[in-house]
Amino acid sequence: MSGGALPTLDQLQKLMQCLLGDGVQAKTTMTGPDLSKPYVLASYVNEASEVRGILACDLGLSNSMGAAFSMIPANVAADSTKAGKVPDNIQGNLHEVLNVCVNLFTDNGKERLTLKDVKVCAPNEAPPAVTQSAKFSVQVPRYLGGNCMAGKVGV
Amino acid sequence: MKILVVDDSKAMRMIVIRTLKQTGLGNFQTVEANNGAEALAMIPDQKPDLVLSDWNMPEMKGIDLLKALRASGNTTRFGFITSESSPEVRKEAEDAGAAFLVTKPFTPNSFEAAISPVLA
Repeated sequence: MSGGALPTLDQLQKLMQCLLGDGVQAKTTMTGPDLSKPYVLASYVNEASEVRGILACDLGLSNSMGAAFSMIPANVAADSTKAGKVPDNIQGNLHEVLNVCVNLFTDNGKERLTLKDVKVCAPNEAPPAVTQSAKFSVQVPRYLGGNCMAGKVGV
Repeated sequence: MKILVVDDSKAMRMIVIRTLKQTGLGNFQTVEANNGAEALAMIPDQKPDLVLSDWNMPEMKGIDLLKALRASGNTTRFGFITSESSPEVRKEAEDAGAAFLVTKPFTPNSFEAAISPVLA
């Protein structure tokens, strides 16, 4: 990612607090999302449609972010996570949250990236190979929260 | 003062309005549109003092809304609130007549810093 960047803990926490509320807490972690379970993968592409960044989030965090964005009850998010899915009413919100997350990768706008897609990956489905990554745990008050991994793709 | 908030995400419109209320901008009322085309149709009747628009939306993008307004002679003050942040997008917005571009995520302070000079 020429001129690109990985999100810092501070950037991630501020973004999540802006979108989901001041109580959101993030911390760096050694373990990313559990890829042996369904997880959500957001891909960010440059103007040549090359994937330059990814954000992989476990289902608990994905449903928490999507639900908290418009105050969908926490039990809806928790039940969806147990069922291994992201329901339609959370999907739209999650897409918007992950769209804003593009700015975690753009290094102050040096390279224009856009959200290409958001998909729920099957257990053990490998995400694109990353050259660098950062892993975070995100706690959303009243929701499950969970882990995510931000990765740079390419040089 | 009336502010038109244009975004295809209802939740994001709610957050924009909530953040506006957290600023010291004083009394205002808000109206909402789901995309550029809807906003373009509403503006002649609603006559907002300020339009706050997302960039990427179905039906009509924010930049196309701004260009259509200016082409029709409408000079309503206009700003973008978008996840777009590249210099190219900022220049395109400025060239089309936008007063400012606030990048998501935003704060009450970033809103106030962008909007206050426009309304002064």
